[in-house]
Formats: sequence, C-alpha cells, structure tokens
Amino acid sequence: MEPMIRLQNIEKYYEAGYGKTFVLRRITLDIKEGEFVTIMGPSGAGKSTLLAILGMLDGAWTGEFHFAEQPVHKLNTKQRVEINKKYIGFVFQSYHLIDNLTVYENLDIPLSYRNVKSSERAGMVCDVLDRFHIVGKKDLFPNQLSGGQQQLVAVARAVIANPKLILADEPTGNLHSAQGKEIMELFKKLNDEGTTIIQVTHSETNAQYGNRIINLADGWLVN
Amino acid sequence: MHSLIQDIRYAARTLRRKPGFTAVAVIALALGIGANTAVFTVLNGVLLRPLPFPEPERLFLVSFASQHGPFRNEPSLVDGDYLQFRRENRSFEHVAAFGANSVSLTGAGDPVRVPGANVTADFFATLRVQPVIGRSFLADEDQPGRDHVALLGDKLWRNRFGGDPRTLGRTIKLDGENFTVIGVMPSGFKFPYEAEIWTPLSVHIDSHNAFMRPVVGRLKPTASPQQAQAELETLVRRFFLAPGEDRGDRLAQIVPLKELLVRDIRGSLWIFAGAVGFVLLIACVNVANLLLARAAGRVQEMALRTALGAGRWRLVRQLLVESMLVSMAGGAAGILLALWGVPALLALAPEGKIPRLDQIHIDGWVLAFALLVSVATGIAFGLAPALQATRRELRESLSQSARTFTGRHEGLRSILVVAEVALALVLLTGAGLMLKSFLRLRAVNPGFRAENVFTMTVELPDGVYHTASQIQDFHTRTLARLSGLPGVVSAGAVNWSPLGGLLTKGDFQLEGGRTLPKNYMTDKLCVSPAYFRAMGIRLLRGRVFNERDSASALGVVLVSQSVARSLWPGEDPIGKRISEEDHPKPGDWLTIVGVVDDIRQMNLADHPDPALYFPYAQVKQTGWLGSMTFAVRTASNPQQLAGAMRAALHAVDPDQPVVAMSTMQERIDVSTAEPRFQTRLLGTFSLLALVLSAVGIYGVLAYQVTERTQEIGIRMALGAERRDVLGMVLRRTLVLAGAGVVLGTGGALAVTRVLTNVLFEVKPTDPVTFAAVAALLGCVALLAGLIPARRATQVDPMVSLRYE
Repeated sequence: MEPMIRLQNIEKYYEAGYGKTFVLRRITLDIKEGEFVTIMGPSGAGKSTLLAILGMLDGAWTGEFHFAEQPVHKLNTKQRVEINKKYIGFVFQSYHLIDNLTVYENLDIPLSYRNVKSSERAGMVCDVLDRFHIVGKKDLFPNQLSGGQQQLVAVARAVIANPKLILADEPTGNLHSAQGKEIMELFKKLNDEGTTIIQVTHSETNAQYGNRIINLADGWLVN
Repeated sequence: MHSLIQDIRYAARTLRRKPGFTAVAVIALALGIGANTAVFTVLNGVLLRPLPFPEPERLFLVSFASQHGPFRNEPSLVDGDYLQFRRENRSFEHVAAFGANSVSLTGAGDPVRVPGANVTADFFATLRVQPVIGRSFLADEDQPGRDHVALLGDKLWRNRFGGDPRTLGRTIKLDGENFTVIGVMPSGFKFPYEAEIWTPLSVHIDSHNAFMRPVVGRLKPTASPQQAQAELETLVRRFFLAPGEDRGDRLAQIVPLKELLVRDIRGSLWIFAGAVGFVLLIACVNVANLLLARAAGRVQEMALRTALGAGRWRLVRQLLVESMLVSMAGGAAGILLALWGVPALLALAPEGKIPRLDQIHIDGWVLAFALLVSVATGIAFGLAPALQATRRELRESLSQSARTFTGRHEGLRSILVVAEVALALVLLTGAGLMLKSFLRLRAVNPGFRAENVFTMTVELPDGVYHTASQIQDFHTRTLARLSGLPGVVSAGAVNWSPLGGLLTKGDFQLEGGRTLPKNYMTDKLCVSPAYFRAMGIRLLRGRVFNERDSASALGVVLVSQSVARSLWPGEDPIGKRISEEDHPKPGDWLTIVGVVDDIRQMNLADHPDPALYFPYAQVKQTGWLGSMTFAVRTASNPQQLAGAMRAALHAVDPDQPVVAMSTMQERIDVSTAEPRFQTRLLGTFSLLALVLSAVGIYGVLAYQVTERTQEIGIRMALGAERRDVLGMVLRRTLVLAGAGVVLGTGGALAVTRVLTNVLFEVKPTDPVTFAAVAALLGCVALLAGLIPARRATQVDPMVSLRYE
C-alpha cells in the first residue's frame, strides 16, 4: 500500500543575491496513513516550512511530492487547494480563531469553504460542539475564552470537515501544561480513531504522544 | 508657548517622515478648500461686497410691480406712480428712475452701438457719484428740449475720444441726434447695465402707454427700511390703476439696490456654495479616515508619552497641531488652486451672467475665509482621531502588540465612509438631475428650424428715421439686398427675434363683441412676408403674408396655433377679424389669413406664448419697427455671410451699426447657456466628490486588508479560495456603499428640492436619476474596492504560520 505522503528530494530556497539560501534540503520522507509523526528541531530548522508544504500552503519548492497517490508537484494551485480542502485540517500555535466571529461561526467557516449545505453544516457544527464539550461556549467570542479553550475550539475547527490529516504547528506552545496535556490527549484520541497527525513541537513530552519523530537541522533531515 | 512650538516642530517632522500620507491629505484638502475658496471669491465679489457707492446700504429699489405676467417681480414703478411717489414720499432724500438705452454713436470713428442708460436728473445725486470731469445733469435737463446732453464713461472717453478733456462741450451724434458731452464718469463706474454713456430720461405721464422702469431711492439717515416700506404701502393705495387692474395683483416693496444686479445669479451661487461645501466635507472625512488609520498605529506612542508624563490634553493638542499643519498646507494649496479656479469658473459662465466681474478677485476677505475654513477643517477632521488615539488605557496599550491595536477604529472609519458615500450621492443626484434637465431642454422643439439661419439686428434711430414709411423703406431695401446675396435661400425680418430677449405683449379686440379671457395676452410681432420661410416656421392653415399686403391693402394678421385653439376651438379662424384698437372703427379690423406653428419666443424652457404676426408694411407705429432682426436662411454654413450682410446693410445706410449678429443655433446655445453652466459646474464638483469618495472607500478597504492579512491567511489555510476572499472584501464594499446609498438617497430627497426652480421637466425626486446615480456610485465603490480585494487574494497563506 502506498504511503499517504511521499516526499522525494524536496528542496526549498530563497534567492539571495548571487546565491541561494536553502530552507529545506533534499527531504525524502514517507508518512503512512494513521501515523502520528512529530517534527522536531531547533528554530530556523525548516519545521514550519515543511508543514506548510505538506498543507499545500506553499507551492514554491522543487522535488516530488505525492499525497494520497496524487502527484502534488504536477498540480496547479487550484488543484492543491482542493486537496487541502478535502484532506487537511490545521491547528496553529496562536489558535488563530477569527476575532469577530463566535465559536459557532469559527467552526462553521471551514464547512462554508467546502460548499457544505447550510442545513448539513448546522448539524456538523453541533456534533463537534458536543463532541468537544463546548456547546456552552458556542456564542462566545474568542477573546472571552481562555487559551486552552481557544485551542480546543481551534482543534475542533481543524477536525470539523473530517480531514484525513491534521497538521499542528506548536499546538500547545501558548498553553500551560495542564491545558497542553488535554490538547495532546485529544490528538491521541483522534489518531486512535484513524486521523493521521503531523505535529511540530519543541516539547519532548508532546513528542511522546506520536509514534515517530523526524528531526530537522538547517533544513536537512537528520537521524 | 515653547511647548506649542515644540509640538509644531515635531508635527512638521512627523508629516515629513510620512510623505505619502501628507501628500494625499494635503491634496484632498486642497481640492476641497480650493473649490470652496473659488466659489467664495465669486460669492464675495457678487453678493457680499457692498456696491461701490457711498453708504450703499441706504440705496433701495422702490417697486409696485405686478406679480403676474412676463415682467412679474421685476422691481419697477409705472411712470405715473414714480412721479407721484417722488412728490409724496418722506423716507427718501432722492428718488431717480432709469432704464437701459443703448445708442448708436456716430461721428467718433466707425459707427458703434454703445451700451447706455437714460436716467432722471437726480440719478447721480441719489447714488452720490459725480463725474470726474465736467458736471452731471442739471435739474431741468431731464425735460424734453433740454435733454440733449450726455455723460461719457471713462472707457468710452479713452477709446473713442483719446481721453481728451476738450471732449467736454463737444457735440456727438447718438442715434442720429446731436448731444453735448457735459462730463466723464469715474473709471469703473458702469451702473446700470454696464453703461458707457448716460443720457437724461424724461418721465411724463403718457395717456397711451404706461412705461415701467426701475426706480432707485436713497433713504434719509433718519428713516429705516421698515418705515420706508410702510410708507410705500400707504402711498400705493392712492396710485392710479388702469381699467381691469387689481391692486392685489401688485406688490409694494423696497428692495436693496444690489438685488438688481445679483438676483439672477444668487440662487445658482448658493447652490454652488452648497455643492463645494459637500466636497469639502467629503475631503475632511477622507483625511479623518487617514488620521484614524495613523492613530491606530500610534496608540503605543501615545501610551508611552502618557507614561512619560503627558496629559491627555497635551496629546490631543499635539495631534491637533499635526492636523492643523495638514489643513494649513491644504489651505495654502487650495488658494493656489483658487487662483486658477476663479478665472476657470468665470470662463465657464455664460457671458453677462455673472455681474460685478470687476469685484471678483482674491482679497483679504477671501484669504480670511480660506484661513477660517482651513482652521475649521483642521479641527473637524483632527479632533475625533486625536480623541480616539489618546483614549486607551496605558497598561493595556503598552502590554499589547501593535497588531492587536488595529481594527479598533474600524467602526468609526466605516461610519465615515458611509457618510462620505452619502454626501457624494446627494451631490451626484443634484448633478444628475441638472444633466437630465439640460438634455430635456436641448431636445425641446423651438417651433422653428435653427440650422443655417443667420441673424443681424439693426436699431434705427428716431432722429434719422422719423416715419414708419422711412423705416419700412429701409427694411425693404435691406431685405432686397440680403435676398440677392449668393447662397441665400430666403431673407426675412422680424422686430423681436425668437430668443432675442425682447418682446411686445398685449391684448386686442375680437369682432362680434366677444371678450378675451381674463389676463389673456399674446406676443405681437411685425414680420416681413418671407420671415416664416427664412425661419422655418410651419404654416398650418391659410397663407403667409405676401407683397400685396401693403399699407394700402386690407389689414391682415396671422395667428399662432395656440391663439386659434384658445379663441376659436373647433372653428376655422381664417377670415375672423380682430383689432388692435380699443374702440375699432370699420377700417381698424384685421382679417386672419393664416395659422402658423407655435414657437418658443423668449425661452426654450417656457411654454410657447400665443402670438399675433402683423405684416411690417401695414404697421404704423414707429416704435414697433425701429428695431429689426434680419434672418437669412442659407444653403450652407451661414457664418460665411456675416461680412456680406454687413456690407448689404451699409450699402443701404452706411451710418447704421449692427447691434448683434449671430446664427440661430448660437441664440439657442445662449438661451441654454445658464443650465449648461450650472450642469457643468455641479458635474465638476460631483466628479470631485466621486473621486474623493472612491479614494475614501479604497483607503478604508486597503487598510482593512492590510489589517486582516493574517486573518485572510488563516482563512486560506482553512480552505478559502481566492474567490471567497475576493467576495469577502467586495461584500464589505457593498455593505459600506449600500449603507451610504440608502442614507444619501434620504439626504438627496431632502436636498434636491432646492433645485426645483432650475429644473426643466424633471422632478427633484426623479426615480430614474436616483436609481442611475445609486448604480453609478455602487459601481465606482466596487471598482474602488476591487484593488484591495485583489490584493487580499494575493495574500500568502504562509503568513498564518509566519506569525507564530
């Protein structure tokens, strides 16, 4: 069976005067469906860039990238956005809930971008609110929630469209340890239910929730 | 004081460091203040500046004029009333009558028509203006027999008499009669009617005619205008009324003399002042929005200053000094714009429309106005942003990242944009209504065919042409020469040409004892047989005049279609008889031989008047024949005939100057010049408002896009496509523009009523114009929003990760 993600010689660089500044070098990597992978490394190692490439947010790279047997390197931007919408959910370090939308509306957004009918959307949002035990918060705005609650909503937003892959960039970076643990338990549970998870973290503790660790240093994959 | 100087220095430095912001703000304000200064310059010169006479506030027109008919509300007195008022009133120290009296000056170079006035002897004493050389009229020089004296204007004296003081006592020929020059008026004195020559006016009671003339009086120092008004109201009860006249139809009033000059332009000027006021408001809103955007980025700076000990007032003052500097720079640039704008505005105005041109220039008052407007706008657009920027809590401001501060003023900024769109909509609606009205006016059928018709007006002097037969002979010979010119299809003549501004109106008698409807009057015109063909006026029944309709033949007359319809509905008017005499004798009856189409005689905007046409060969009154306009229809461009027509006239009488020459199309253009002027000016101001609003919408949305870059990145990371982002920004545009359109429509419904009097066949609430303007504004708003919207779609979703 083909892996969900197959990267071959992925490179990313910026033009710098007469030379190139590489952010990622010759990344070759397979990730199977159902894995919980942790990407680790010092600041500037290229972790977030790799995550952005995996999430189809960055198209300026070289190499070969297959996602669910589709050759991403041959797809145009629109087709990549379609893959993002169909398969991927994002969780950010700073939650990135939209300030002027309520919890309910924040959860509704990914569905609206996927052209889900409004009647279906209401049911899906209610399911997620229920599943994450945040029904009571649905009419609150992000600034009325604690950091942990905001990240809970952010995770809920990431899973609402039933993605096969969740990309999480330092999901507990802004949370205290108890809140962080709660979020990681949630990821573990989602992984157990079959969702592939790739997280970027500096935390060894959080890395233990995954079943594989990938280390990056100066853009290179290291053992 | 020192701290204020420090604030000014700091503000200047801050503005220098933000050249983009400063330039946009100064340009917006310069446009607003410049337009206001230009209009105020005209307003000041025309309406506000006192007349150039001693104590002008004591000069009033005395009037007991009809409120109906063609001369309604023209401040004037009938000659008999004037003589009685002058004798009996106690409020005025001097009262004088006057009238326009253009004359042909011969014997001083080429024959020339000179604008002039005839005035009663005490006219100059009333105004308290005296000749610089010579004397003014003596008390008895306005009596027949002693009235052949003249005062020259400075310009005429210099141009025609070389400024020679020996001109005094010299005899000159005016309309063929000898006049003695007794004085030269001061330079710049041209009152009334831009006169360059003044002759005495002899006022006496004429048993056959009742002349109405403007009458000016100088109030005694002891009398108030209210007393004078009350006295006039008492005196008019004893004024003689003609049979059938109703005293209630006439209005007794004293009117400031300046009204004579400015009443025609006053309405337009106030409309323009209102329009440029709107432009300035929009400019202020734009700059306030820019300042709010800047304030959002400066909250931390304000917090830091507070932490260092600055009080709120000190911070507000510092920000106000900045806005003041911007407004002063805008004001200075505005004055420069006005220096160019005033001549441009005057050039757009129809010739003769704006009075007191010599008074229109940028002076101390205009500069004070510009300064006042600059200060007021500086405070108006600077205060709210200054208060906003200094409102926040210190700890909160210092502890939060700059990003968090953005978006705080979004509500206020959106409100300002809505207000801006609303203001622009009001102005655009006004301009739209004017444009529609103008187009309708242009589409009016005048009743004649103006193309390829050239006209030449000649006024024959009584002193040379004493009898009707002399005048008729002149006309006949001139017409014969004009008809023979190459390219002339037909040549006709009429005493009062269409759209010529002059007219004779009156009633008449119907045969068989029938009476005319109450107040029924018709235009009365003397024409040559070929006039209708030359002018392209359709004959509907019967025949037009011919050579057999001579002085010795049976009296005939033509009527216009509306006369036929009103007086003989369902009947054939051919063969019916009317008379000009009150008690006609058998030979006084005129037989109707034809019916011609109605024409717009005075104005394209007025309904066609009913009209009677008399063959000029049968007219006996010299007063009806002295002024004649010759109209020739040509096969090709009529302009080429000007020289040949002038030569034809001089071949008949070399001493007669041409009073006016123009094509009929030019006359139509002149008659529509005022609405064209109003439309152009309002259109220009509206365009300015539209551009400023578009800039405002663009500014707010561009700022919001910058502010929401991260949010847009997140949305794209969550699956938003470019069209979703584009839609999001454009929806916002539509919401802002929509709210502005709704608000502006309400405002326009209230404001466009002031245009009622200047609109032609268009209601001030015309739904088509309202809808078109709303659609236009919506489209412009969408275009303005499109640039930031497209920029939003370029946002790299990576930004959501980079913010980590």
